Amino acid sequence: MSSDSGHRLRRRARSAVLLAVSLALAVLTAPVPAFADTYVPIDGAGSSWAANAVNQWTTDVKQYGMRVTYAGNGSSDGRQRFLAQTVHFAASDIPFQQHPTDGSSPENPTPNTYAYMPIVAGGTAFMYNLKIGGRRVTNLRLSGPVIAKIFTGGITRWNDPAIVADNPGLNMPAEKIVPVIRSDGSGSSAQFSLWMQNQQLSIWNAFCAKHSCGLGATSYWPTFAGAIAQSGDLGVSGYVAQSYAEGAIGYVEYSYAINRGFPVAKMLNAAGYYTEPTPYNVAVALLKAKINTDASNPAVYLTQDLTDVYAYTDPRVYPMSSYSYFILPTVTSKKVSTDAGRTLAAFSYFFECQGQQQAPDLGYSPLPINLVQASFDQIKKIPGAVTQNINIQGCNNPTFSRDGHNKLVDVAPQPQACDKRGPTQCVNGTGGAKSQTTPSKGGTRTSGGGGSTTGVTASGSPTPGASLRYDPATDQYVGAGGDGGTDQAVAGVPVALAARRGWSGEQTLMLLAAAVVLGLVLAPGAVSLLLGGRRSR
Amino acid sequence: MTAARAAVATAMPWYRRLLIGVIAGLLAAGTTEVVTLRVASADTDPAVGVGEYTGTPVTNSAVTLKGDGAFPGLSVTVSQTRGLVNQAITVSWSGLAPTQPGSGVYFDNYLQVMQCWGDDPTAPAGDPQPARETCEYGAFASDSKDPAGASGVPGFSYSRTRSVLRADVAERSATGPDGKPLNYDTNGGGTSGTVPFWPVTSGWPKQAADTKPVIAPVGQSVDVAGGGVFDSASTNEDDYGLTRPDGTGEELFETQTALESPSLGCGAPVTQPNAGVTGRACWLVVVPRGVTDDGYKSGAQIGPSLGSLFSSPLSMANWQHRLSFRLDFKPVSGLCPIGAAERRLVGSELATDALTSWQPTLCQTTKVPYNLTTEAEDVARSSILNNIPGTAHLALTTRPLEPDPDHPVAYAPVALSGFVIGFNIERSLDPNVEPPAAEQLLSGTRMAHLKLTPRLVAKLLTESYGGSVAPQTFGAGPPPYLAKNPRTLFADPDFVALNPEAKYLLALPGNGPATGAPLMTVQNADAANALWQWIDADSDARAFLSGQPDPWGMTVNPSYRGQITPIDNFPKSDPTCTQPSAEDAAKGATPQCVLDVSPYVNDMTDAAERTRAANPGGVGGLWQTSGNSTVFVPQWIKNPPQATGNRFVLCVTSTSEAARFGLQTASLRNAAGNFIAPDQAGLLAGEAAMTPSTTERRVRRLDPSSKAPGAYPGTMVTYAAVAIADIDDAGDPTARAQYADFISYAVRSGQAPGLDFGQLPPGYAPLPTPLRLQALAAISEIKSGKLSAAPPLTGSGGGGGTGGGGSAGNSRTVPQAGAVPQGGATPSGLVSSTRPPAPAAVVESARTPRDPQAISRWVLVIGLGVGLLAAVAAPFVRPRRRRADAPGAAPPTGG
Repeated sequence: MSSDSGHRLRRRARSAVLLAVSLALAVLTAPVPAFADTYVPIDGAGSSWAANAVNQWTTDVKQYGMRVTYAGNGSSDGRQRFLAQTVHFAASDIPFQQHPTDGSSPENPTPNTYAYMPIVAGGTAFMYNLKIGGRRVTNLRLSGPVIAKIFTGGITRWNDPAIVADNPGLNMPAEKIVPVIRSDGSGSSAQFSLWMQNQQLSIWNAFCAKHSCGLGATSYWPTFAGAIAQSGDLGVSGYVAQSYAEGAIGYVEYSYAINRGFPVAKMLNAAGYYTEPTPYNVAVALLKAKINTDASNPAVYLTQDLTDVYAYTDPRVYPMSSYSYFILPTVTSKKVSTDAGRTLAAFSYFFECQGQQQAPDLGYSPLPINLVQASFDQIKKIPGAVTQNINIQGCNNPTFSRDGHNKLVDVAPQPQACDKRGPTQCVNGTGGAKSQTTPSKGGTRTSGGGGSTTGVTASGSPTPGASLRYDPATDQYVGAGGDGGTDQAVAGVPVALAARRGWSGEQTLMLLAAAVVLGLVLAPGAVSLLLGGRRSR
Repeated sequence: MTAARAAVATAMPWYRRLLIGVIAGLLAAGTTEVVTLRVASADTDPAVGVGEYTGTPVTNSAVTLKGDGAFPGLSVTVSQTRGLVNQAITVSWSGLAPTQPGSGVYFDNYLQVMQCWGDDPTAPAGDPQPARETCEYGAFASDSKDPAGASGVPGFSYSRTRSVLRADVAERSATGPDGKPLNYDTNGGGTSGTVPFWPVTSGWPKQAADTKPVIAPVGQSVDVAGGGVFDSASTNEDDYGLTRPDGTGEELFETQTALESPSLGCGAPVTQPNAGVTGRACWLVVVPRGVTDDGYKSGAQIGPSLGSLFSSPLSMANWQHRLSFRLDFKPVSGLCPIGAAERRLVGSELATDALTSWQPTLCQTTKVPYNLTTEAEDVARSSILNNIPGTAHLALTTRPLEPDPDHPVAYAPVALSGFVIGFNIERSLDPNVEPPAAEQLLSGTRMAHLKLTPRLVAKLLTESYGGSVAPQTFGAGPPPYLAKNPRTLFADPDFVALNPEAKYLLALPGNGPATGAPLMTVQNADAANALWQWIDADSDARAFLSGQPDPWGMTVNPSYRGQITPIDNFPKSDPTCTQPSAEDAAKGATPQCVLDVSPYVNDMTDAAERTRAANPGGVGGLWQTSGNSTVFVPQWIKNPPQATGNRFVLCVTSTSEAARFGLQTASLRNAAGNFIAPDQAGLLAGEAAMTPSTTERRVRRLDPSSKAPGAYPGTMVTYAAVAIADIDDAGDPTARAQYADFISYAVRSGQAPGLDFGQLPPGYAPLPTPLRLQALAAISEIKSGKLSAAPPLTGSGGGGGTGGGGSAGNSRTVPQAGAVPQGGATPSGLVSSTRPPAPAAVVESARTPRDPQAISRWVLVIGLGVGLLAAVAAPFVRPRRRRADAPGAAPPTGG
């Protein structure tokens, strides 16, 4: 279903990501074959947010003789099973809830029997299903209060003035919003509720006055009128993707939107830019994650405090970024033998090193080297861990810089000007729908320059912005030849677009392609002629 | 009831751990391995089914043993006993009375199957026997997180434990090699105890003095004892192999090597004096259980003195009736040393099973471990053209990239497989039709075959059966718009006409409100597209999807009417939700919608695994307001796995995943009107009927409208697509060689069928020679960075001169489908003389009837016209020299 253009656009978007990941290939040192070890089967359970990454890693290590099984049934389930000693490890987006206020029973791990270890970073994305005039919207923008109100029932229509204000380029329809929440105990819900309390306290308090949600993180998001509850990221993404779910929006890890080919909302950050949870933007945001460094207190060591992430004023920040964790055993038990511990340590070392390279391809963001190194110290606490092999030199991960800073941050592109809060709105798609642009009112002009329009401007013609060029280095569209052309707002041309399925992105892209060819061939020459007149040869 | 069985099944996800996989019916079914156990009275009623063996192939190392005096009629066959790896084998039997199932427990007449590592030191030298102290048995999940499952577990029974009673006379007098009493029956204190487990590493029976065995508390699971041996998550024990009404039974059993069960150590390399290295041999032990239970109490019998069998199979009174099969394993070797830098590949799930099998050998041959990041093919295709270091430039895909002279792509076929409709269906008799006696005898047996047409699959995928929308929980009927449609597949006369036995059967899942809808993946996939293409190519199916009733009056679910064109995923478009009862609603219960009751699965592995386990997921049952220790938040309880004997799960998965999990697979009707099974013959015929893609002649696909009589319509070839001009030779100097090494291995050693590391696992057909030659040609393209002048294989069109390396500024030559072949363009030695030039091109994306194509066509024409104008105008505008890196240059002109 993809046109040539679509492929290329998406490819370039991905290039941008990979560029960062693969930076200094020089670090790819010679292979350091470790001694052949024998392992025992191990199993774990927990986060569905992180499941796409963990499942990939369990497949990766089969060739090394490791048999690892993972059940991504939710963070709450993982922590409970860890406490019941029916799994070797748990994956959880939040720490043990010793004083839960969401109605679930307290989790009381025995002190000094476990350790937290960050495993991967990612963005909790707002995947949505919205059409205007029969055409999918891929460039939706939402500010914090709007998100808060959508998921507490305070905003119920897509043409709510607050949403319109976020989206000056879209003629928002008077359609009902269907918020899709998690029905199971979920770390995503907990992270989301923490953000609510920190950033949108009055909205949250008003909501909780009517629903029991307690004061701390709530793993069980209260159901409310108009909301749909689904189990796991799989359930939420599966629901949002349905044709009947037009108007739906749900929170999932970014990878789920990519796998299903759906867009995600750009979220307004503290710098006033709307951003999406790309691996870059997550990496930038997490620069401000306060990682607890009190190694003397295992109950909190390495846990995350995201308060400063929410308020971080770098324009690239995706505010709803977080780490997911493994809960590791630090003592043997009826479940955990030293053999199992040795295997778990080797598995952990693998994904903290090489496994991180796959993170961007999978829709996650790799850990920075300092957290990887801190994780090594946690791995060494696992009973049976073969500690001499756990070091950064043998890591085979080119994304690690020598000084410990996150290389993704070096090359994370600045947002487009059209992503700034204001009258313009970028047209490029997001998430799994990067190749689908959404023509918008207000255009996408990002590079100033001449005012003349070179694009096709036949009135009533559904021509998207002509001369748009996608710049892979900055992950944005720029006007070729210095002009962005005029764009038709999605809902502004419902008649033309109402040609239903006959007019699809492909046709648009064909025209776009033709226009690009035109611009490509003519514009430089024209510019050259113009400039040439002024230039001495 | 079967919650017990269900709980056991949940506790043993052995199939997830299967490295290489099960040989199941798939490939075998096409060859020799279908064994007809019974021939029903087909002469009187052709609709009566045939009970068929549905297990793994019965090999030449199969062994059959007879029961002893207590089980005179019993005959047990193990399908394979030599050359074993981590795989599934089948234990089948006959001559036992039918199991009487009770509520949450099985009363009697079942088999208990386990794997053991050691010989009994008290057995006579010439007659080696297994030692029960070395058997992996007695692990079960005592704290199931699934409330419904937990409530159904037959908790108060020693039958699935290692516990023994002093009341067992044989146990009381059991002695060890030293002649002294074992006292297992009293080591728990009082009149009960536990048979200890000694792991292979202990050296038992000559263990060091301070070495202790694992002793589970009386009546409890080995999990409780811990000890790091095996537990409910890893054990392969089969506690309840049920006997069917005709006295037969059939169970899949996972043979575990030292990797899966280090405490058994089977297959661990052993150096023999004159025979090289062999794998450590082990035992498979079958303990038959009848209606008496001397392990509980002498003379105890089901009925008068006992409700159900109580004692453990390890209890001497039961153990003495065991049937012991020697298992010879291949040595476990050839794993990759961890720590070396991996070569990354991306792409199709269709190739995962092959990769998993190849990897351990590949890393030995090529000195580098390979890593496949599985992702939607569409995403993978678009990712390999990056020209920055670190990119995986090899994608495993079944469809080509859009051709782009700036980014030439070499295509090497590496695997031949396809999509399947897999199933796990046990015959559930319809009491309303009073099936003939011969059919009644088949109750609970697994069906071996289904025939499906594109229209029937379209019905399944579009929630068009009445029962697929309304959960049974609420007793609600189907919504009005489906009221006139059959409730289920088996009630559909369209289906019964092809599968007449269905008139006697119910198509209802064993329990819970699951809908009987096939399990489908949530992610985009080429396989989904191929499946929709097959449906779209059939006029009956297309008519049905467009809203026309089938000959029996069934119509498509209106949510799908006219909506379906070949797409990369499976929508679940019906928005219907069923309201809870007033009582539940008062407690805050939420409606159950289709996605709650019949959720997506994550990928094709998940689909096949859940089908094997008869665990389609979803919620139903009770609205739980005060739950166990985990959940106090009100919610619907998750469905447990379906009940034994009433299983009904269908899924969309791949041939290799179906084989790995031992699923039965449907025969699909091809355009020639034949129902073809996804076996080797069907895949090879499907491959032979393939035609080149319109946009990229190096890639061939099966046009579903092909009339090739034997072609399986789901046949798909997975290609390694390598972006040969985008590899950064300076930054990543080993990439070309390592991609080439991978392909070279894949099409040579990797095509030898087998279960061993490095071989081609079941579910794939070996690539025909022309495809392997194409792969070798692609290798030289990868190494040189240039495409060969003419595409290999097809020989049609595109002669020399238009290939790669055209000078900048050349106008692009667009290959035209059906162009007259230019003589001599075919590279010698690469084309099979038997393969005729493909006359017709495959339609890349099939026609969608509703498309107002006129508009599209004009857009294309206008677009190209403008492009042409631009090209004509170009010389007059004197362009500055610049890199042509604008996106979306001229669109491809499809055929």
